[in-house]
Amino acid sequence: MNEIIEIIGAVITLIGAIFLFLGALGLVRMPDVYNRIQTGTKATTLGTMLTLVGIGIIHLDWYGKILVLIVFVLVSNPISSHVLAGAAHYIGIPLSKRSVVDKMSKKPVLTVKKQTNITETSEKEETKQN
Amino acid sequence: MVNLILYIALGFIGLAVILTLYRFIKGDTSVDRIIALDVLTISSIALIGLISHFAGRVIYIWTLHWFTVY
Repeated sequence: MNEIIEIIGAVITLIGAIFLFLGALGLVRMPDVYNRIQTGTKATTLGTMLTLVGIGIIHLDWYGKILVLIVFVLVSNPISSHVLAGAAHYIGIPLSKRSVVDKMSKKPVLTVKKQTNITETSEKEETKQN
Repeated sequence: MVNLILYIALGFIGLAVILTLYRFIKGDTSVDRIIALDVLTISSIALIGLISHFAGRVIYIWTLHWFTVY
């Protein structure tokens, strides 16, 4: 019974490690800063949490400390990434060309050429109708 | 069996650290390097957890002693 619990803990740790790996892969593969922040936060937070939970299952007497670690990771990592993303936008780091919407920008929300064309034509139609 | 699975997990975390270091060195912008450092920190917490398992010592995850069960 004890061995089965340990194997379950090890498998959870492995899943966490895979999440960490995928987060790091996203950090390399993603096209711009904002996407990298997204992968660098979500996947790694979940990965670290799962890894620690798995180790906590293997060593049940460590669980208190591991719980404190999980709480700190869960609180601090998303906040730091949120602030980093805001700072990156504030200093003007551009979005990827494939990005569609920049909701933090003070310009009009539609940034893709096709969409702006649509709005322009609709405005022209409105003026003609008037 | 447990140790084998955990060694595989250790390998994945090692790969994650290498990829993050690549982004840290390559950069593009300073914000990329900061993000890479952030990810490196978070990955190292998981790595320390695994190392503490292999070493069999909880001292490596020494967090707020008065809150926790020792």
